[in-house]
Amino acid sequence: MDNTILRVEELNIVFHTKHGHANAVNNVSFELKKGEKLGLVGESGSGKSVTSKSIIRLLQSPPAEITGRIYLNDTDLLKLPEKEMMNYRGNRISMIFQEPMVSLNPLFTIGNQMMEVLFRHQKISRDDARGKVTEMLKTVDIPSPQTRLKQYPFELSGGMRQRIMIAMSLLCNPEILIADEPTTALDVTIQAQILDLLNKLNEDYGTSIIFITHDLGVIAEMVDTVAVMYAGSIVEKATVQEFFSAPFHPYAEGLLYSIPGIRGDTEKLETISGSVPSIYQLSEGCAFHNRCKYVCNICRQKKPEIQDIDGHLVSCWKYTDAWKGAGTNAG
Amino acid sequence: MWKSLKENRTGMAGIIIMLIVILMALTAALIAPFDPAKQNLMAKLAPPVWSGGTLEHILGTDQLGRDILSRIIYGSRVTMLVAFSGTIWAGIIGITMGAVSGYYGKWVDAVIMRIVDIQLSFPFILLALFVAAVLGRSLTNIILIAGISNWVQYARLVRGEILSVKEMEYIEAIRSVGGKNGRIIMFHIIPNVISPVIVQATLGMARIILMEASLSFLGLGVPLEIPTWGRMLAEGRDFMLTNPWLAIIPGVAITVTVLGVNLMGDWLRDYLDPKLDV
Amino acid sequence: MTKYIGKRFLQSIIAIWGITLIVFLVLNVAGDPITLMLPPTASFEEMEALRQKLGYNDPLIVQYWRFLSNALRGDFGQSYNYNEPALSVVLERVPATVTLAVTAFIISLLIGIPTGILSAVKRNSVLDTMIRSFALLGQCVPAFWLGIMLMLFFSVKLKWLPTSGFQSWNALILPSLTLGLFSAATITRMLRSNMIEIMGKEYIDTARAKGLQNTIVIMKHAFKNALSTILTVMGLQIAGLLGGAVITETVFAWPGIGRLLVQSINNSDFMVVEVIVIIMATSFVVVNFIVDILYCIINPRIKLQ
Repeated sequence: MDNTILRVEELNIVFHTKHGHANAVNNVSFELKKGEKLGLVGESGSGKSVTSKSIIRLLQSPPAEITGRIYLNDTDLLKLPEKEMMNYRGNRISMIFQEPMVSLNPLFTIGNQMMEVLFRHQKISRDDARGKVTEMLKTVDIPSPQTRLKQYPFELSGGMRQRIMIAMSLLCNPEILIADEPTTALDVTIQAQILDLLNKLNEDYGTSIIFITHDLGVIAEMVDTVAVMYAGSIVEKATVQEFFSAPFHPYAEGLLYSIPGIRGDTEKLETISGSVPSIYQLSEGCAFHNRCKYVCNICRQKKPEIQDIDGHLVSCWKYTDAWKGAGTNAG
Repeated sequence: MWKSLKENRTGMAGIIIMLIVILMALTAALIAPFDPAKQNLMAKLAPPVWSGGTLEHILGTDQLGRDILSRIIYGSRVTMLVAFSGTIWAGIIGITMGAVSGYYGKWVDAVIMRIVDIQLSFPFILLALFVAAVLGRSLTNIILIAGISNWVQYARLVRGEILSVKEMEYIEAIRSVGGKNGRIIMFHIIPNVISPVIVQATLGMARIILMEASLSFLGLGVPLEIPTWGRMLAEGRDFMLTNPWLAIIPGVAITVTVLGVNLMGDWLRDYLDPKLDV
Repeated sequence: MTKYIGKRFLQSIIAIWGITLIVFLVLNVAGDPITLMLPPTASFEEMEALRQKLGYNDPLIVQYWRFLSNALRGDFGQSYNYNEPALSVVLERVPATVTLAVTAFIISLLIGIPTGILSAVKRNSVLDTMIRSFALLGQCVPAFWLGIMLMLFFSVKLKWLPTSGFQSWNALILPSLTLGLFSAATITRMLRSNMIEIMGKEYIDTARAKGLQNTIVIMKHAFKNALSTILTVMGLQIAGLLGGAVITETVFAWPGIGRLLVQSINNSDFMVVEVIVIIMATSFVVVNFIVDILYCIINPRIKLQ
């Protein structure tokens, strides 16, 4: 039954800087099944990027202090020595980044950079490598792949570069692809193409995808499951249909209803008052309490536990017996 | 600003060194125990006090019996004078050339930039030597050489800033509501240019101090009667076997001073950097 | 790419020509060679006679033309001190300087590049602090003093190495070390800051995300990007090395053109001074041209334009 390939348990990441300790990720836990597309949503600073980087262990370890467990199948990635982790990167877990314009080394050809991955992880001849790379370029719909091999990144557009990044990340057929806002820096039309491509690859290869974004529209198109992050914690996790039909967490609710047109014609755009708390100074209670329409006393005092309502997870006192009525932060 | 200094101890050290040297230069006549030119052949080549010398001549005496401490103190005058005036001249020439070049553009710019390129093709010590050779030894010449060797960096900075400001859209916005060129220069160009110019000035000063010392060492700097650290080194070298301190002490003076300038410059660069528009 | 090289070649030629012009102007306009060639007791008539004889009364253009055409034939006049053609006096001593400069250059690279990279990779560690302190000091210590101190220590006190001249290969060590150290310090500093900047770039993250080993990430992906900066710095270093050679050769009595330059200046041997300045400046232009070509080869953007 269990086709869970990734299990993140009690992940905590603290950054020690000269300005203090930043609690970037607080007690985050989630699972990812084989072939599943998980969307990690949140605003800047919510901890989504940091979380995903920690899965592939690309965070600098001072100043970051990482505790918890990240199981890929049965191996705890956080306990692996660096040498072994290097064998996982690009091979069993891949990551693509936000800015395709600067994600490729300007001084090496596409062919060189792509074949590099193959040479690193497989015993393969030059010709075979070239063949595989060319195939992959075709799969991501890049015209004239043979020419591309000899070209340099600056000769290609942003959309093409991102396709190449995707191609490069899938060369070794990884189990997980982490996509950190891959379409944010692209035009809307190109964005749609890239999303379609990722969907297609997920179907064809069965690669699980963790898709990080702040754009709910992208979430709606792309993913199977949504996990919303706020101030370093996951506040809600649900299938995409459940989420969009009825979000549970007040923050998620606020996000959804602030999108114009989502509830039909409205006169005024809804906003969430207040601002995100500083991760240097998180309170004892729920991180969202100072902006929440439904706040009550217990919200201010204790962090809510995770409630499982038919597989729809939410971290909010409102869904427990401890909650008492609407709060004083209305509107 | 004081907080930044307190956190950054090397910057602090740099400024303290600079202040000491400047103070030395300004009060030389008051604090030097002896007249730097006064010869006392009876006491020649005396070692410094830690090497068997007397307290009368703490740093010892040179081959003509002149007190080293006094000569070091007086030497700081030349060093500081050349460093500051040279930098000011380089700045004046450089900023003007850069401003003209950037503002008027076209062939004026082309000509000035060619001059810049050609001058950069010329190793500057060669230039300094050459000019010194032809024009002879004098304080003014050295300052002139310092100015000529260093103006280029300022010109490029100012020109670069003017060019980039010219491109910026907000200048169009200002112009379209009637803003005048003078105001643009005052409020948009100068603030952005001040920081890199200041940093460049401190780095330039370090180069100038070393250049003056080198020229004096070779006998091509200021007239031979004026005490200067480079010259002291050259003279001390002949007596290295008898009294090595003659060659060591002036070198320490030069190194420490340049170190002070560089430390201060580094701190300034870090301090001003966050405020600089990229 | 050929277009770019051609353009640079032309610029180099113009630069060299510009140098001859400047040298000529400075010598003949700012100074008066005649006064310097004759003893101070010479009478006005004697000076005038010599002036006429050597063609110094002709219009400047004519003089310049004469100068240029002679120069192209290798005739730079007679050395006042050596009574030989100025050019041969200089050319005799060029090999010594070239040996010194090249060795110093190699030393500066051997010291500068590894320390720059190490310093950046192990940022803020004890090693980094040590390297940075040495680099800073290297830029503050006057070269002539360093040379003298090294001489004092290694030649006088320890008697390991000769103090001067070029009798044996041992004699090359101290001067080239002295000459190379300032350069090394500059390279270390520039490389360090450049590498730090590069290592913060996204394509380094990508390289790591591909599972590449740290050494490859640094040496292949990061360093190659730093190379272009290094090349530029290296080009400028040549100027410093040539200039520094003047001082180092004087300190160590090294029989090269730097020392000759100082001696000739002190002896008012202007023909020789002229030749040396032109040769040094020309070599600098040539080296920069080569650097530009290398830059082209590394940077694909220019190659393809």
